[in-house]
Amino acid sequence: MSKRLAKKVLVIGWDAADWKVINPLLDAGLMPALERLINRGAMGNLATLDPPLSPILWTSIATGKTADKHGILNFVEPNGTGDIQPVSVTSRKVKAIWNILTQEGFKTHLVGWWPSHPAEPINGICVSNNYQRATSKYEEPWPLSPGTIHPKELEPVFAGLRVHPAELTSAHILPFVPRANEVDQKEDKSLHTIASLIANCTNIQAAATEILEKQDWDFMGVYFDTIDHFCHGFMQYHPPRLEGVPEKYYELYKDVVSNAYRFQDMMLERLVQLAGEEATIILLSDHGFHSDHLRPKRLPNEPASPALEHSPFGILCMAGEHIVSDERIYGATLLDITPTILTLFGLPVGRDMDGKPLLQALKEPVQPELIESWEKIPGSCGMHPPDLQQDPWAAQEAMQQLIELGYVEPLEGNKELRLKKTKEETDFYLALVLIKANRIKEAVPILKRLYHDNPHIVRYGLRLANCYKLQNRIPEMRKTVDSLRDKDQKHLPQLDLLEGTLLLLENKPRKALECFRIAEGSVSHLPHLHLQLGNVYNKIKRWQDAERSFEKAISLDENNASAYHGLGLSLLRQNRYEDAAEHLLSSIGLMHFYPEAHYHLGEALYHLQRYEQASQAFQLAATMNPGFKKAHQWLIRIYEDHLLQPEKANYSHMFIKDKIKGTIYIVSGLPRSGTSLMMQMLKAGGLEILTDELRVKDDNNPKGYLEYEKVKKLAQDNSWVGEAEGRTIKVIAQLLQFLPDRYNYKIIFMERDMNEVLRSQQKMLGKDTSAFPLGLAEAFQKQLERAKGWIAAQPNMEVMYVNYRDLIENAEEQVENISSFINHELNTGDMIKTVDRSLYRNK
Amino acid sequence: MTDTNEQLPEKTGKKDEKTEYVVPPEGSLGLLALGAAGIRAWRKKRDEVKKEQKNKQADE
Repeated sequence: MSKRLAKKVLVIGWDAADWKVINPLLDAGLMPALERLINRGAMGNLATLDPPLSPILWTSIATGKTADKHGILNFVEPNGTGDIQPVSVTSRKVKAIWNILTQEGFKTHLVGWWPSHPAEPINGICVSNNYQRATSKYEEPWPLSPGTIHPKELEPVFAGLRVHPAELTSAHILPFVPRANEVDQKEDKSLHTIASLIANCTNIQAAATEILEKQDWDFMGVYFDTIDHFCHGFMQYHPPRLEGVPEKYYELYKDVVSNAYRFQDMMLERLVQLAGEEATIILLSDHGFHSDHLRPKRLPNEPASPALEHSPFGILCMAGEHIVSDERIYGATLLDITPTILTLFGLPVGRDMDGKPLLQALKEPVQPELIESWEKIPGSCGMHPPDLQQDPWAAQEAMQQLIELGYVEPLEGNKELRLKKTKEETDFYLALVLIKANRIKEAVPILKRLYHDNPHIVRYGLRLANCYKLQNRIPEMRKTVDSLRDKDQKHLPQLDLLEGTLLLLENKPRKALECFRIAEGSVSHLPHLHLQLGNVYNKIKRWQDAERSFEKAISLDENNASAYHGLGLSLLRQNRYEDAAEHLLSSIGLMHFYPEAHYHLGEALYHLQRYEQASQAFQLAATMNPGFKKAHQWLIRIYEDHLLQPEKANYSHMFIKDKIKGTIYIVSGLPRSGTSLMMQMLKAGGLEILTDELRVKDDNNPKGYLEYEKVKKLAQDNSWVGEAEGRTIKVIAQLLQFLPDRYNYKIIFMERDMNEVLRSQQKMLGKDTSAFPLGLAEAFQKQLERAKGWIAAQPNMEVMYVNYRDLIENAEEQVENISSFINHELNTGDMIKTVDRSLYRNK
Repeated sequence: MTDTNEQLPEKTGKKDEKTEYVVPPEGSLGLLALGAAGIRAWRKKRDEVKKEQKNKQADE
């Protein structure tokens, strides 16, 4: 066991707490307890996970593991009798921090964690998340549901501590809503909601303080859902006033959210006081909550839609004897909390945990011990047996709250259908977890099945398309987007955004621009839209438009590293090197591992003649992306021509010589799909063609085939391919797989209507063109799909698909796209002249 | 009516800090934030005042 650093650890969860709301309150001196904690400790952002659903997240916080490992994947679960119930702690498959600490003999208490019902038999007191909510009318019996308290004999103590919402007075309500007497309570139930939330919060505080005051303890975890619930109900009234919010309600409720935070701060003061000076305090939230222009205008009618109000960063604040003081914590995620607590207690961290201890927050350097897994360490840890059934009445009461919050649909209609939908949603959330963990390959089959079985559920299709994008499976992404378009009755802006992204990947920037412009009509408040617009403008070299778009993205999201990079690049290309460097520095400040940003910074610094700094930037780019040939080329130029340190250039010379081969340009597709025309165009554009002209021009191809005989035997011998380095060569689709992988390839893949292709082939072979060879068509289609799938999986290949008809009918736009893809200065005028519409036969 | 007589037993060997609070019978957010101690103090005050008022009414 390593050295135990912390005598005691108190973890306080404030669901949905967000620095954007807290900071103005701190500035105004309205959260003094939190301010004191920040001043004596460390603070930072805490990155959430996907999906940002609280029971999933709080379990990841408590276990250090992603949801596919810990097993809590939804708000609800099957109850074993054909219906659903709120998710229970028995669905958790792994040990939480309190189980590990129980097993190791630490005195461990837990209050209100989500999910924690039924209360686990830990080495201390457990008050489950069924404790705080009033389930009966005031002055009627209000029994605790079975399993709420461990140990059971303490039930009378905690039962008596609870405050009923109806017990509260105007002294409790008026601080939240000073003009409460103006509320028409017959029409507007807001005061009732506020009273319930105050009471719930009070009950958690009461239980926690009772334990801290009266019990010995090493660890306590306390969870408040207060801020989250206040935000879901009242963030719509938070300043600045949103369009469409009636002034009357804005004036009544605009301070409710701020006052909820202040109330939590008062409670924080008491908890910290009772914890004592020797305790290490960890205050955190599982996600943030949009409080500005990013508040969604409306929520879609789908399960868990309130989660769309959540923002990706929660808060983290740590203070204690062994915690650094007045420092910022960077890069923390929810998964790091349990590993950090284990390290504080001198316990090893499981290798199977997905987080890491936040060593940056510790004063002294620590080398945490590692074990394979806490699941393999036997011992009594206070977990329930997995088959323990929840009390059905308790389940029903808890279910009601989930329905009221909008996380779950009302329990109407068919039980079987409800169960099926729950299973599907749970699988969907599992897919999201896998995507976030970069296990896209495992997520795809789940999403494929869900979308196939539910083609009307757009979010399944959108996520599937996004997965294909991440895997660079452009043809499958196109197929999915097209099928979503076919079904899109409401014209979803997300689909326009997605299709725009797809078109950009298909190297059709102008069409992408059209899609983004349409999306701009509905989702102009989204930073991502402006980011994509900026990327398009950069691609088509409209630098000033790009600059404007990226600035807009930054105004909406000041922490967007990609936006700063894009802005820096657009300024670089306008020769505004100082400004470019400034923004590129901001980009890498936000996201250090960003080779492209370091590269462009290097360029800017080079032009500012700051050669030493430029070399450092290029070195970082090359280190982060070892195949970054251009970075090495810059380094050679700087060391040899400017810093006069030629010996430092040796490594880059060697690297390029040994590891990086040149680029070969390929024109591919089925025979008669327009490959010869593309070869002719590229030749006219100025690219060097590798051809032996053994196949001479004829009636089928009056301008020539531009082929290379050795390609026909590519399957048997590819040793000659180096002859094509830096040049363009025609290789039909079926032979692409035989290209050697030591080169980089840019492939222009011609696509043409299958009828036209086959008619042209039949004619060329002197066969009857009136009969359609169905078998051949199917075989070619399969070969095409295989070829495209194979190309997408090759890291050394980039591909651009060009439609033959588009090329003939819209040569100007296509030529621009091709030039951009090839990334060479091409003679586009001569390329366009090459297109002879009269040769477009066999239509 | 909730019974606040039940309490967890006091920790042994811990110095009891006495702090004077003004407890309004209608309660306050400050008392709620104090936790168990605040709730008990509020309910005690509230019940005392109610009893006084009841006795007064009976006398009248």
